[in-house]
Amino acid sequence: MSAFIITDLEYRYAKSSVPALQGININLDTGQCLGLIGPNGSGKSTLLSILSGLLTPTSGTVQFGHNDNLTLAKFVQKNVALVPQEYAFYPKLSVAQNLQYFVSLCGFSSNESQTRVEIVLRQCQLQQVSSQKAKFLSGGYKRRLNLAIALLKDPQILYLDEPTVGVDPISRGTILALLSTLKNQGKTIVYTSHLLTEVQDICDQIVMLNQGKAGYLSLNTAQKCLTIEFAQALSLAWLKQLSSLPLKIECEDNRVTANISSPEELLTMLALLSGSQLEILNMHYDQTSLTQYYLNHMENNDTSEH
Amino acid sequence: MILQSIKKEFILVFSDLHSVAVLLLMPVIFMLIMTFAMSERQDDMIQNLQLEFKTNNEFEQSLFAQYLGNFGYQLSPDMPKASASLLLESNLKQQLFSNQQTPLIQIKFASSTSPAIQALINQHVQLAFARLKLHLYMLDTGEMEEDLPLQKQMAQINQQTDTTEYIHVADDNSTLPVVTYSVPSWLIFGVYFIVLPISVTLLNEVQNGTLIRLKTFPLNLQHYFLVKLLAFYLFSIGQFLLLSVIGWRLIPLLIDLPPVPYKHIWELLCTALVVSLAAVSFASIIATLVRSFEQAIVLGGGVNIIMAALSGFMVPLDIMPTALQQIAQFSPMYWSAQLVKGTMYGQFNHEHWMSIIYLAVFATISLTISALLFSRRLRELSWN
Repeated sequence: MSAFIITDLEYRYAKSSVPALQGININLDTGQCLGLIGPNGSGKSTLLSILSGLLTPTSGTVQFGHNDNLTLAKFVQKNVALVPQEYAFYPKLSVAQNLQYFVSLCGFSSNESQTRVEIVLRQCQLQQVSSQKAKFLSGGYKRRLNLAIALLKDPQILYLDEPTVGVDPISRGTILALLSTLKNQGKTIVYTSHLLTEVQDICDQIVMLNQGKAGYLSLNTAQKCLTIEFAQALSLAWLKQLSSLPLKIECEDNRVTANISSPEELLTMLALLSGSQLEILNMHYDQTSLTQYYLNHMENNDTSEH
Repeated sequence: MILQSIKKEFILVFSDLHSVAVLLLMPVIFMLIMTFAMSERQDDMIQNLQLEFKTNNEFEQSLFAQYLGNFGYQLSPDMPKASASLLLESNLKQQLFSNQQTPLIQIKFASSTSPAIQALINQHVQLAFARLKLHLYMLDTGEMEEDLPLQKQMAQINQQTDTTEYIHVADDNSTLPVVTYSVPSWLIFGVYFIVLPISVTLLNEVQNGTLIRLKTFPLNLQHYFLVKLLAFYLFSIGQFLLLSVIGWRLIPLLIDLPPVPYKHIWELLCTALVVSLAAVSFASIIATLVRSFEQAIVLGGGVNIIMAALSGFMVPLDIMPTALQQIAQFSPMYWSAQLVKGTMYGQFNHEHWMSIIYLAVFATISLTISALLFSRRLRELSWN
């Protein structure tokens, strides 16, 4: 079941000849997490604004599943919650006062409101700071409060804009664990961040935006990376043999990193290794990191532009 | 939602010391200073005035000086810090009774002497001349005995020119004129400064993404905006009533004047409701118009100060040029101050009812404009 389907989406800001977004197609299933990555100004905010009903696409469609014939604005009000990058709450109110105020805007009964506040306090592990003024909280607790307010109305879809910026590892862990739990509960998440390891960890689908265009990454079929650490520095003869292989290889002192696209390439590399007398200290074979992908993609983009 | 919103706005205002200072402390300080400054009696004021007076010891010149000195001025031939320097012509007697109307005295005011004091000195110089002329005339015609001691002669002249018995001031309560001038003006000035907390709260909500977040909440944001204004309206009414207690009852006591009685509570409440409505609705326009805190301070504070000046808060309207007096008739602060004065006197007349109507119409128009501006603001919202 799709949470939303974006088809041939294009958006142009008034007085701008270049589209901010073009040819965007995304189909996200319910309970999945979509990662939106890309450099600043790539169109992430514009896409989130369209998904939030703040902007209307110039062309193309955004269709939410289970929309019950609601308008986009009404659907968003009923089912979507936002977690802006800024601390979108009142610093001079306590954590509990903030939650009580925002829950009063959700249209729950008094008992339901109280229950919702207790649930999100527990979910975001904010009970021990509930009476503290928000402005005196640490960065991590502020991020959790920012998220807690979004969870008050028990949304089906959650948009998060850099929800872990400037937080300590413990709070980051709490937030990411909570997001995984929410995903397991069937909540759909759209997640933007410049912390690509996080995106890779929690997202099922990743869209890389660059200059308004989308690149779609499916990490399951992506390149893999073989990293070998030798006991001694590599000789020139060996480096020569390595460079003759039809692979993208990087050598640095006693370490070799090779991008492997197929099992045949892996076998070629291993055959070369078995014929050598070099002592191997460490060998690692895994998916290429999203960071590496991102950098490669941006590099290729730069090259094609010049 | 309404109760939570009101609670939230009250906590936000009271936790911001700057807002409390602007809304409560500033008007109280203004009321206190201005009431104190204006409470000085004319006699006390004159006693502090120094006049430099140069004569060549003619009898007439000395008599003129004594008549002028009777008003309470400190006269001396050499006073470097004098408010005015007076130089009398010689042969005063001859010139007083000649047909030629030539100036007999040169008055040179110090640059620091205010127009009001200049007018007062002018008035007293004229009276001193009139008494001198009468004195000389009565001596000449024999209606006053030359043998009488000079002090008795002067007493006789003063008695004959005393007209105070012809004047009766209807209201004998001497506190009202001073307090009714300074307290309503600065009370209104403080109430209209509600513009700053409203603007700051709204700007914070726009800038930290709260308004975007609220757009995804199941509520009508116009309704939300009105509830926010309602919270500030209640705050403003409380502020008005508190300032009225301080201005009516406490400040007169501090400067040794009897407190102003509350004559009709319903008039006070009615005034508080209307004035606060006008102040909050006016503030809502500024709040939806400004895009930064700097703009809020400059536009909100600046407009208030200009409007207060045009409404006669800083310089009394009756000494302003007619054109400025006419401009004041279109200022909501002026209507508000008139209403408060009417409440203090306990005399709601036609003019006060008209002020209520003007303020209600002004509030309706302002709220409509601010609702439109807020809608535009919502349309401009996007995820940054």
